[in-house]
Amino acid sequence: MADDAKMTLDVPGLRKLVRTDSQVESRFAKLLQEWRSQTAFESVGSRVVFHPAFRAIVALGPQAIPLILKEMTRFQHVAWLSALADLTGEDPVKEGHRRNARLMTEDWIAWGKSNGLV
Amino acid sequence: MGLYKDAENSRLADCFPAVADWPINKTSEADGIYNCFAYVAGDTNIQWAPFVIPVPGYYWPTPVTQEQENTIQPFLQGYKTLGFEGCEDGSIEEGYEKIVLYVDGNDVPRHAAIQRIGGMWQSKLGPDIDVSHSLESLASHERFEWKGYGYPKYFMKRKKVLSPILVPPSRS
Repeated sequence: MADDAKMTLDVPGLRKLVRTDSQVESRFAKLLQEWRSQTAFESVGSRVVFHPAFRAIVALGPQAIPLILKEMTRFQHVAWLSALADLTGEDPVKEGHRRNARLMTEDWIAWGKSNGLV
Repeated sequence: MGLYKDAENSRLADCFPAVADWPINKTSEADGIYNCFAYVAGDTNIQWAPFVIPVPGYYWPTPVTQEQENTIQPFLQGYKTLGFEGCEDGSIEEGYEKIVLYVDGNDVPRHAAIQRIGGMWQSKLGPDIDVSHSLESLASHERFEWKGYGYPKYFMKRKKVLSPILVPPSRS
């Protein structure tokens, strides 16, 4: 058991798969640009949140959370609400705010601030 | 706000080339909180989208079944809850307000607009700006390689709710 605890992963090529913060940041920026340009005038919700670039942003994992929160403070878009819910498993939205995405966004940004992510 | 300008909105002209023939006017700044389907319902605080499984930030007034996904049905049912009924076309009818749903070649809704005084239409372009326009401005046309929101097919109307006339208190 002690040996297990000390065990480190030493799989050839694994290091290349684990992204650094700056790699995640540049990947996020590229995907964000792709998503924004391809959904710039998209009216249909499912075509926005199921867009491949948006799903790829969510697939970046927890490292994308501060980047999403930063983007939310720049331009509010409802799609981030579902991304943050998926990524964090948290629900900081106050009960009376669920029918108002502006207030939901404010709740998430406040959550980000209280967790030192914004 | 100002008349639509090529230099300012080349992206928009790329997506909606018909605006060259049927100009549009910008009427708001970009806002990703609401979309066209919410806008025609008078709601600018959330996006309206008929998801089968609810998604945070999106709202639809009626339940949506799997079979109804990507069909016109939930849209007709949803706006019916607001008092809209199907109607023939987008002509001006005194005492009524009208909305229109643009659909693609598979009859899947892609956009909505609301009729304003004088017969012009107003709508929200995704998470971007609001514009006033003609039905043709945002529609897909063969000579513009079918770019646009599709065909303005489903019209709905409801009686206008008149605002009460405020009468100043009499000075007696």
